[in-house]
Amino acid sequence: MIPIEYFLVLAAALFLVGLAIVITKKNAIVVLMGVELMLNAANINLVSFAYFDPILMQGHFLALFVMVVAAAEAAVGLAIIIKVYQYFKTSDLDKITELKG
Amino acid sequence: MELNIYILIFFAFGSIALLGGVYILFTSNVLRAAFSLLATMLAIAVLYLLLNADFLAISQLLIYAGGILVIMIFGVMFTNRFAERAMYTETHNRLPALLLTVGLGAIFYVSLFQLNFSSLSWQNQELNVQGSIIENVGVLMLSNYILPFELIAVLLLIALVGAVYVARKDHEVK
Repeated sequence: MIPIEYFLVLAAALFLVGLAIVITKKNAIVVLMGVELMLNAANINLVSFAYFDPILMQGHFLALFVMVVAAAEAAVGLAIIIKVYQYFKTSDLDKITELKG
Repeated sequence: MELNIYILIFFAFGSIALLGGVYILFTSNVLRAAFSLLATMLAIAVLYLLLNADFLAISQLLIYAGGILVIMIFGVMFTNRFAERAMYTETHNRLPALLLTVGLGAIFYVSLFQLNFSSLSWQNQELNVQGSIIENVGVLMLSNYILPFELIAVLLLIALVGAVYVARKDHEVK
């Protein structure tokens, strides 16, 4: 068995990379990719702890539900991005300033 | 710690996952970022297999590699204004991102290396997991976790109908 710390270290690194992508990138689709990366990092943590819970498998189920919510989020998010692109002719988050107060 | 085959597989696919993520961070080509995310998702599926989560590994392949990535590549192609040119993204907020990432990483890793996981009692319990966990997943999903299962089904239906409604082509603009 691989020590659980290895998985936790990898998941933390993936989460930080996803956070950096969300903050730095201007394109809305790449920001969505960063969000997916952060969700996957959290899932790795859940599954690595669920290895020690083979009876109830609570971590497995939470990871499964996170996956479904991520799929719903990606579908709705990309629909909104496509609609915004049709209106503003850009998917650059800095140029979509209509709602700025 | 002895160096066995599982540790080698973990390091190989863990580094693929991490390098895929770092490549998204440093490339400016959106389509290459999407394919790099595909490599990351496939490597994470292998990591799930190492953790005895075969059902989740298959779900990861189907949902992330097969579903979300295809939708994202569709999105990239729909929002590309110049068909003959690749799509690029710019970066901003580099310094705040660096500060936040380093700060949060310091918190994560300091707390992670202060913990002593091998002293926990559930770490050393006897695990006799043999074969696939899919039967257990199916029984639990329709007994213990039936309410979240039904709710997630309704949520998925609402999200998909909503996505189609939002992205539809309307001829009269209000």
